[in-house]
Amino acid sequence: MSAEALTTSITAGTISVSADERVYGRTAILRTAYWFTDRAYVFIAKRDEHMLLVEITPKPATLDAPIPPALSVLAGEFSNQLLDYQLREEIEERTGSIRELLITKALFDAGIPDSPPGDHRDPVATEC
Amino acid sequence: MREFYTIQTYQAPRVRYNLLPFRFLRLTNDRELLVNEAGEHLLTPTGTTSDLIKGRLVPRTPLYQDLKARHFLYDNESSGLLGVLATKYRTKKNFLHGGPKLHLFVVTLRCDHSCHYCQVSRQTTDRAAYDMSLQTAEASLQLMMRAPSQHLTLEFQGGEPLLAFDTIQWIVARAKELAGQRDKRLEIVICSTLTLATDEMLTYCRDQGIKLSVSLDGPAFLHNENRPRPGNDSYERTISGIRRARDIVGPDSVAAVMTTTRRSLDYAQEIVDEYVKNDFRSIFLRPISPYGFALKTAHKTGYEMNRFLEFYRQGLAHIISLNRAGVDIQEVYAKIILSKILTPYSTGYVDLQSPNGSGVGVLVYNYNSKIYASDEGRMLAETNDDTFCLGNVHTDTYEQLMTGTAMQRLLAASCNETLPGCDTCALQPYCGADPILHHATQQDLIGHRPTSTFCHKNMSIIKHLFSLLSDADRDLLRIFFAWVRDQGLADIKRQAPVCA
Repeated sequence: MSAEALTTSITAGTISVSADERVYGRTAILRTAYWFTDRAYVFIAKRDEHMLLVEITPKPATLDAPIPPALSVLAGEFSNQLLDYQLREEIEERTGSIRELLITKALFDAGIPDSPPGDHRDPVATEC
Repeated sequence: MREFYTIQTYQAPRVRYNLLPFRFLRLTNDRELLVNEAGEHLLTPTGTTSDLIKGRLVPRTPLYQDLKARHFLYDNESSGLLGVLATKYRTKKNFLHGGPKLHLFVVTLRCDHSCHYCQVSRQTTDRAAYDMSLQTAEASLQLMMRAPSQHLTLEFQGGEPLLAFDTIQWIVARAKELAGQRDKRLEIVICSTLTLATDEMLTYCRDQGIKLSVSLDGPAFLHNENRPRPGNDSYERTISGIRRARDIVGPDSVAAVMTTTRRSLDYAQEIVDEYVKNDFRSIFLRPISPYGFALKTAHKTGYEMNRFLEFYRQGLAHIISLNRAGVDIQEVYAKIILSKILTPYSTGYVDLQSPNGSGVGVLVYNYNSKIYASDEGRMLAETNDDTFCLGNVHTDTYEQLMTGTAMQRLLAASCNETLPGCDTCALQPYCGADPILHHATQQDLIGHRPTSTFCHKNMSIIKHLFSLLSDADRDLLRIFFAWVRDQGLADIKRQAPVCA
């Protein structure tokens, strides 16, 4: 893995994470960022052709979270979780089609009849 | 000249393995939890997921064999996988079969209590305008009988349902008649404080095979503070009602539920002991629902979820201690989750189902002829939020209810397999979705997982149970299996050792 694939810096109360999309998929980056939106404001932008920039600014203290997390801790958590989400992307890539097949077979074998013509916006006809 | 075979001829063929769908999370610094699509799990050393994905697992080691046996990988020696997994997946979703099985009839909003946390409007006892009419009851029963399932539960709610006892009697007779015509089995429950239960009412319940569900919040000081009524004697009347119900209706005829308030949070052990003292074999440590008029008294009853989770852990620890000492008492929420972890079966608890059971598993027939997807949806309606009203018993058919706009919107947010944050979560098979709660607390059916109290609560409790399982001794495993199998401790001890 390239040394530049993931870099973090802390400036003026904000963590800046630069992630190489050739190493960390965009979906993994976005999923990771999603889980920080309770504790921080998250801004995402394209840095250049291959790099995504994620800026994380902790929210002010609240009754539920009276002590804001340390920036270095947040940065470390983001890096670790990004690794995990990248693994999840790899699992999905290799097993997603099997999951679809599995669920299709499970529902098919449940004896659910094929859908009749139309969809839920059509008027409903009832049997007397 | 004679030649020898090369050394490669005698080496075992290289076993190549492939992945099956699964999710994972880091449970502790040294343990990972892997969960497959059918809800089978494995606790493994940290790094296992990475090794598994990178092809670094060594075949025929114990870890490899465990991962293969529990369908996290397959190799050239595996066979017949897809059918087995599909069957397991379908078994987990079996609750969908048969449509809504639980039908709540809100026969009156009148009540003699003024509970702080009550989510519905408490009309005083002299307002007959808040009772269900017999015409509405008839139309509601006709719709109820359209549900495909051959086993239905009819549950009376309120207010205080016993204030409309004559309506209950009419509905029970008519429901049994209609169920008999359709060859359906009927279970009937009355949710009541029992403070107004006369011996005649209890005798009727016995004769009709009706079960009772009562609220018991804990010791007298706590129960009476939570549930004020004229005379401030709710606890004494409730206990009297429980005893008389057991005497007249039967020893197992009464179940109890409690609601946790801010005041309750310091008394986890005392609340559990109260249930044991009154011979209950289960207790449901549940948080207050954020619906309806409970919001107006939030300053009395609101608390942070972290405090509730601490209360829950204390209560569960005390319950486990009691079990180790030979006392039969289950914690219901833990039992539901453990059933999902330790058995291949689904459960009937709608909040931990995917799709969520609102509408799919339960329907609520309100006194005013409106139908709601759940009791929580009905509670929201009492504060002028009719989002989850599916229709009206007098104007809508069963098909229109189940395919209408309200139901469609609800279903679109009811499958945790598709929700942000839930779709990749290892705990997905053990959890559920709660669009109604997210609508009430976040004004969004989908919900924002990082700030969701539903997610926070369930993640914390499910992880806590896995931590208990991973360090469980034989006795604790026996206790958990006794809960899951609804057996007594003495019965489970006579059986062979269990493996999780």
